[in-house]
Amino acid sequence: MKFRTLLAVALLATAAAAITSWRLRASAYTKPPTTPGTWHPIVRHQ
Amino acid sequence: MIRVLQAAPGVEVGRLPTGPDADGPPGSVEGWDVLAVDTVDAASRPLVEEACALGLPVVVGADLPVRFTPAPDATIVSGAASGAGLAAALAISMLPPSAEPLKARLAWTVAGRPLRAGRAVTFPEPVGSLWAGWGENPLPWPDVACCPAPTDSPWKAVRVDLEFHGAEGGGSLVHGVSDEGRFLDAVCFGSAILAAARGAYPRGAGGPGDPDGAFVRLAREAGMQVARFVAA
Repeated sequence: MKFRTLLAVALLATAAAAITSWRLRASAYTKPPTTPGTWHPIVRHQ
Repeated sequence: MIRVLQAAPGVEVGRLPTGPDADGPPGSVEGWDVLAVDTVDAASRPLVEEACALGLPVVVGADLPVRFTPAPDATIVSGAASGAGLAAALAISMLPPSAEPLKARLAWTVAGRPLRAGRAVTFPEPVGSLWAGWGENPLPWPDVACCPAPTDSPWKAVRVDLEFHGAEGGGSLVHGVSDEGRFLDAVCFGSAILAAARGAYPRGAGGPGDPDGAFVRLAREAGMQVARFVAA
């Protein structure tokens, strides 16, 4: 009985840790990659 | 927007109250040159229909409602204060005379929660890079990828990647605009109204881009800065 309880607790803890890890990874914002280069203002001719 | 219009010589701005607090009917647009409305809704629709019947150009800040079908001989400019409208207008103005567009990508910011994935778009700073989704093509060109990028920033931006070919060979250009959102909306709306008053738009319904680039020229005169992207 004690062994079964311990096994159940261990399984539950493992499942909770896996879910937490997955949720953290899913919520992490990955900044989009920036195209290498520079922006230059276009001068307006009067 | 009023300031943009008042900066142009010979422009008289009138207002016809159409809101729920307006006293009586909104009046008539007879004798006016252009009618501008934020949206075509129940309050503004009688004025829009009167303007169309009188042959006046109508400039709408937002997109036209799905159920609104303008008369075929009316001149209606919609999306005048929208990122999609500005991106399309910029693309038209970037195309050299007598050149044909080969491929284009239009990207613009929209108000909303930033995406966590999608298509990466690098706008001019301070907007920078954002994830974009998939949008409708506002141009009558083939092979146009449209990328609306949600952002919760008060800044707005557009970016146009254009490939073209013509008698003098082909080329590619990348232009962008990034500015404070309310300023950019006002400049674009005001410039579309001025362009309409000068007869820049042909009959029919379309966006603020005109064949001669008057809208972009007026917007730049009103303070909109356009930048060119040079790849490293």
